Amino acid sequence: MQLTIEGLRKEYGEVTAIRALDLEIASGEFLAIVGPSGCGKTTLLRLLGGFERPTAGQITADGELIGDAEYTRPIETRNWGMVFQSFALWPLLTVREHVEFPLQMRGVSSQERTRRADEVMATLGIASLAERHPAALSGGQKQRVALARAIVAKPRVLLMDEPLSALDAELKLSMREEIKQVHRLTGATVIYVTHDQEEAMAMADRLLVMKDGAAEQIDTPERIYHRPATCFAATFVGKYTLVEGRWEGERFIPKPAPSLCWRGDVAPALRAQGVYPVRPDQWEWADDGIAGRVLHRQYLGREYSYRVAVGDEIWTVRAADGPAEGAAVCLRYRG
Amino acid sequence: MSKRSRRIAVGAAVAAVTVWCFILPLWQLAVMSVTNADGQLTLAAMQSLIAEERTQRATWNTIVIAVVSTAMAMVIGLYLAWLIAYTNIRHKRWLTVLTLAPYVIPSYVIAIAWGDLLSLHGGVNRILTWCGIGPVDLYSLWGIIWTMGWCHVPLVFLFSVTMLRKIPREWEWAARLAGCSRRRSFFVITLPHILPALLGGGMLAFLAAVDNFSIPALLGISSGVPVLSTYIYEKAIGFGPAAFHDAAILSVVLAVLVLIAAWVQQRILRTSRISDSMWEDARPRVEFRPAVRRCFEGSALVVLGTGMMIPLVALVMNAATTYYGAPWRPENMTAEHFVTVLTNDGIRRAALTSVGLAAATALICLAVGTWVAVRQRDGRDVTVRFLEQAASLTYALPGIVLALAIIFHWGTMRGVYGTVYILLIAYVTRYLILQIKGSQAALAAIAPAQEEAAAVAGASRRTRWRRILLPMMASQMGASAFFIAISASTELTLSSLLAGANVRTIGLAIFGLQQGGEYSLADAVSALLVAAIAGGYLLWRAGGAWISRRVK
Repeated sequence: MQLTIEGLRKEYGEVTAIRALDLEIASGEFLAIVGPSGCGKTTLLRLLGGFERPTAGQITADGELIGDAEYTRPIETRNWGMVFQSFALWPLLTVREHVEFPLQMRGVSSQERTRRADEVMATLGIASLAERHPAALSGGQKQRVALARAIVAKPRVLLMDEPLSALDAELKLSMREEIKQVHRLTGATVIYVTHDQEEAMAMADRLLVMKDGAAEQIDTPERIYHRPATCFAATFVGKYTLVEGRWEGERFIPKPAPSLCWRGDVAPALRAQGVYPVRPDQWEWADDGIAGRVLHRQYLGREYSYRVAVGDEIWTVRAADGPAEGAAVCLRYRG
Repeated sequence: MSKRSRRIAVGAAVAAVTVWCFILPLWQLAVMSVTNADGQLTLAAMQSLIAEERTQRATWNTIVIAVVSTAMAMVIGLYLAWLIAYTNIRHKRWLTVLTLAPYVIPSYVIAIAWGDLLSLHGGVNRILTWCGIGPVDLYSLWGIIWTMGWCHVPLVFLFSVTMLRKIPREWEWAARLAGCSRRRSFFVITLPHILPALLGGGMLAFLAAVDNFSIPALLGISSGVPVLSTYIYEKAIGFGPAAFHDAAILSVVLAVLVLIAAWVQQRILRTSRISDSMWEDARPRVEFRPAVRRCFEGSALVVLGTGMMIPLVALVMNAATTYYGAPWRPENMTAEHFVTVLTNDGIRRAALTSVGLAAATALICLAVGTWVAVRQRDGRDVTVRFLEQAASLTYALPGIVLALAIIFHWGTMRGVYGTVYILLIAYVTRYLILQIKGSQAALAAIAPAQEEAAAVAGASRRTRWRRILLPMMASQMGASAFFIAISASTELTLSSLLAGANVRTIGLAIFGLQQGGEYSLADAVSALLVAAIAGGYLLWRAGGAWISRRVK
């Protein structure tokens, strides 16, 4: 299902949660919405689901209006699915009853219900838990039940609100794959909210980077990572250091070392700010270049993460090996 | 004395006091119910009394009144709770204050107020008669139910608001995503999950209705509608060698009824899916458009106006007219009744007695209750746990039953019965559990790590209490003590049996004026009492704000 958002705005009294947002989501696309807490991403998801009413603007699905300031198409008539951060399982129902529930509500015969529920539970590896209640499930199992309930009726849109944030690190990685798998199987349009930019990049076809209720950048993970459109997108997604300096046409003169001159494809918004984005892995140690002093060094396994003081600022550098804490160093941009 | 022997000594003292003050009175009551005037063990009196038609009618009335008034309180309380917890109506603060008013306004004042509003030849009844509904006689079974229903709305409201806010909004959302309409998702998902909490909470209103003495005493005694609590009262103040024994037998019947209900309530609550630790989500879930919202705000105002405001207005107006039942015209207005009661020595003494008793009760409960809560937290102290359970029992049992038990136990002691001290003992026995629970909750809200952090930082035990724990507990502890003080100062049930000839509480004074036909004076004292409660509340709030400002 293809979704279009036009001029969307949401206010809670004095507070503006969403400011003028426009967005097209293609049918079958996996869109991840990332941003720090309070950026409006969960509000956007709730507006899409019709749980809240926008102050202005409209949302259409396949050309049909599903929500504006006056009208909300009830979520129960849409055949959408959703996985909540809290899972929202019902304590009194068993796993099987959860999975069969959406089918039951849509009047599917009892035989067909059992068959389809069995199928989905087998796919997600929870068939053996069918008769249990939520209180007897672990976090990962609850997650799978919530996912099974959301997809069993073959929804056209699947909303996911930080579905992995309650799980431990190991489980997160394996659930990422399963959600991707579910996306491939169902072909549903997936809208996935997370504050973890790494998770978003790993899963989504496109990212929407949000800040203060507005879109900073909407693009593929690769494009956002390699050519961020705004300072925020650069620092939040790619963890870029924004080196201050002066742009002269296509040439950039970094302030800490005016003798240098860099070139590159940098977005206009960053040029206008007079900065050049450099990722931690784009630095290398050198004999000359930008002078700094190592403040901290963390061992990450394959490489080290350094915090280097340059002038008044502290930059992050990732490198295979190098100087000890306290050492004076020179950094070179290797592009 | 070694630490160990001191602990044993304290434990023994607590056990002895508990048995003496809480258990023995109830034991004596039970003994009274199965003995005759000569002290012989017999069940004959019990059999014949229970077989009596009037006993059965009182029991039946008690149950009917409790069930129907609970249903009424549930409907009104749940509706208001839903509005406050889930919708985006405005002025929630004021609506909440109005809804909770009967929590602190004694039920005899509310009964008197309704009596004023629905007096047989009053304006409201004339309108009702004209409409073909009336005249309505409040002095009847239905009048008792109606008044009690309003009185117990706050009980239902308080637990409902908490419960509704604890239901995760995602439960309903998930159901709707599955294709359930809003209405259906309420019945299929939400209702089954909240039913135990709902029924358990409703039982609170049921228990309060069974316990209530003042409403049937005011509305039922003169009109011949007996309930168990008033029947016990009539027996206890009656004459004859068997009077006390009969009252004891009826008390046992009432106590059994209450204990069964309380047991059922605990069983139901145990199956609840709404737990204490769940987060209360206070953000509105139903967003009305302005026009619809105004309709719902209006409906809340109509409900609260009918139930709480208009009767109180009638009370004040009747107190301010020259004679009872006079039309409310400017020429009939007078301050005469207020002046009379304010200058009356008896009323003034009664007020002073009530205030003194309330202060003493609250202070004793505050000290003992907090001590109990602290001891329980610091270690497993069996005797303190015993005290808590005994105190729960004396609170769960109806006030009239406790009053009778206290007469049997303390009545023989010289210098106690008939003095103000027996009232103090009775109040502490009855209300102590409220402070224990309040102080427990206040302590539970403090994470152990918060105290440990102070200890690690080098604070001594005394400093930890003074600087960290007590300031954090003060507000909740104070709230319990304040509620105890209000309850004790306006109490009627215990004092109706326990106060001697020379001791009168304010509740008894109003009761006496009303029974004596001095309706305007009863109205005037009641109106002043409501004003005093409101004033006390505002003073307490202002004091709390002042203290918290000083602390900061």
